[in-house]
Amino acid sequence: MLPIRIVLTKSFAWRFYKEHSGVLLFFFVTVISYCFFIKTAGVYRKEESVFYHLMLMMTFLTSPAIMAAVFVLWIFYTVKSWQFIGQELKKNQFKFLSYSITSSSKATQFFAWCYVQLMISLPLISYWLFATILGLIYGSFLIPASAFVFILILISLSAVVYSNFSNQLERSNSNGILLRFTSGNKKNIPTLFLYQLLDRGKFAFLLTKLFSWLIIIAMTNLSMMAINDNRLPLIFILAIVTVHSFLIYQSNYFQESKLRLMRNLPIGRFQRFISFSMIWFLITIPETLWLFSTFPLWTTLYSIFTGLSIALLFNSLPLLTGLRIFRYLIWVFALFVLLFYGLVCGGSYLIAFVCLITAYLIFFNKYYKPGFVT
Amino acid sequence: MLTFNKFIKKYQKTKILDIHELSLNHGIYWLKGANGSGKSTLLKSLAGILHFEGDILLDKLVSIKKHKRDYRRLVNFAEAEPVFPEFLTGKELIDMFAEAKSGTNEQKAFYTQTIGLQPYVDQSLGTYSSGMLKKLSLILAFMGKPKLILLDEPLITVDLTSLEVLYSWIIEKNKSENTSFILASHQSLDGSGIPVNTVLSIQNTLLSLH
Repeated sequence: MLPIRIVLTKSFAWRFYKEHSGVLLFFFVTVISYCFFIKTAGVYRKEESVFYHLMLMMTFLTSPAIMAAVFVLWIFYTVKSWQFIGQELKKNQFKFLSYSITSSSKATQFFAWCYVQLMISLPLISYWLFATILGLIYGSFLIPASAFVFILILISLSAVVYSNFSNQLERSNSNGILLRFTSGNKKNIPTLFLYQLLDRGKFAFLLTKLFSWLIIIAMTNLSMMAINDNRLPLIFILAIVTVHSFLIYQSNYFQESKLRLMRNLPIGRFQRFISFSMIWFLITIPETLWLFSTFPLWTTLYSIFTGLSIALLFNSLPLLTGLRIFRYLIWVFALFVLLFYGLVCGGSYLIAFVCLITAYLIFFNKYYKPGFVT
Repeated sequence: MLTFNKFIKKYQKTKILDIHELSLNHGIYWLKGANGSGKSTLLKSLAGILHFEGDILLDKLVSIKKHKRDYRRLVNFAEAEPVFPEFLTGKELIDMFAEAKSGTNEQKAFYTQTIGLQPYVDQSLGTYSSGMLKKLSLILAFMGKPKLILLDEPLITVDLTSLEVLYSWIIEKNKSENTSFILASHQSLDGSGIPVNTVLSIQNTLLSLH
């Protein structure tokens, strides 16, 4: 394979899968749960299962409406990959591309990016391939052929978009309004991540808040627990912390990539450990206010304490996993399941303390061993 | 060799560089200036990385804005503190630059061997020290047949033996291929043997020749 393709594929295509492993894992778990645990609205025999799944695929082959729906999903997926590569290209580690691949011919750049998008589009292509095989068997060619053309268009369009991204000259950044508003104010170290969020993480922050509210609304409407059940606010707070786990990871990433010198400052280990609390309280103000407005005072206060303990535990995880988001999310997922069952099975009053002690032990043992953070 | 035409570079509203009209002939230039004076900004603008107002022409024909690809093929650049993806190997990066800049296998072998990076080229960049990354970035800047090579702080983090090698590369490339150089450095180039034609300095957004 040509060197430019090797570098671009390693840099973007494989990393696209790696960075989105959390979402892919979520879909995987959802699909598995669906296949094994969902109750069907009626009884069908085991051999009929294959028939129904086949019928679903045949609907794609014969129904333009379903085809259009699948195409829309493919467009979302492709736009997501544009967004990912666009953001990656702005990172320092990929600046070298702006004075290397941009020297090669337009055709070389175009086909190299086509290859990258082809690799990113493997899930789409697998789906299309399966549909095409069925189409060949059952004599339905029109929609598989249209899907093939559609995938080619998406790949070509993506290659053009990426070529434009990489050939663009870098413009000087202008600070956001919020950041300009806070400029000149004295900034203390524990809250620096908040300024980073204002500067570079607005989208991730807003998306997290959106998910957080969706989960609160969904759980409020769907929960079978009584509102006066003491476990309910704790399950809410567990879900809220889990949704915020990506921001917690980002905070760690920021500390390790931009504030490595922090370890050199004369600050005690416990103070360092607890300093994350300030960030946590500030980014979860809306959720905290909601808890106060919905549940009794003491229940809310204990829920906030539990939330902080779990958040501190999630904050200590990168010291075990390193800055590897896939491993981190697997740990978060496993802990979520464990804590959820712990709460439901009556461990409400233990969990906060167990999480807090575990978080501190991890922090105490690993913080000054940077070899574990890669 | 290089013509500035109403070149202005601003960061937000602050003007960093203002070079209304200036022509530089072929040769080796030493770019001086205090920290924050705009040396790296100038080099990155010349390398076609940063956006600016106005235009820059190479050999009065190749515009950085109108003939981007041709310009970038002829102008190579090495950063002061290079950052590359840690998961790539040195070889992968060198091969990629060689493909993009039309570098040859002979060039790849010569530069990696003479600067002592050959034993490490198959290792991932995550294992490289800052000095090794610097050497790698210098190798990349010499790939192909550039007419101008921009080296930002080429003397930092590199050991003395490798510096001698770098000096010989610069002298040889300038002599045999008439390649011009702009070397941004705080350290003096006296005693390096490099035939510096002109000293460039940046003061109060203006570029002057000495």
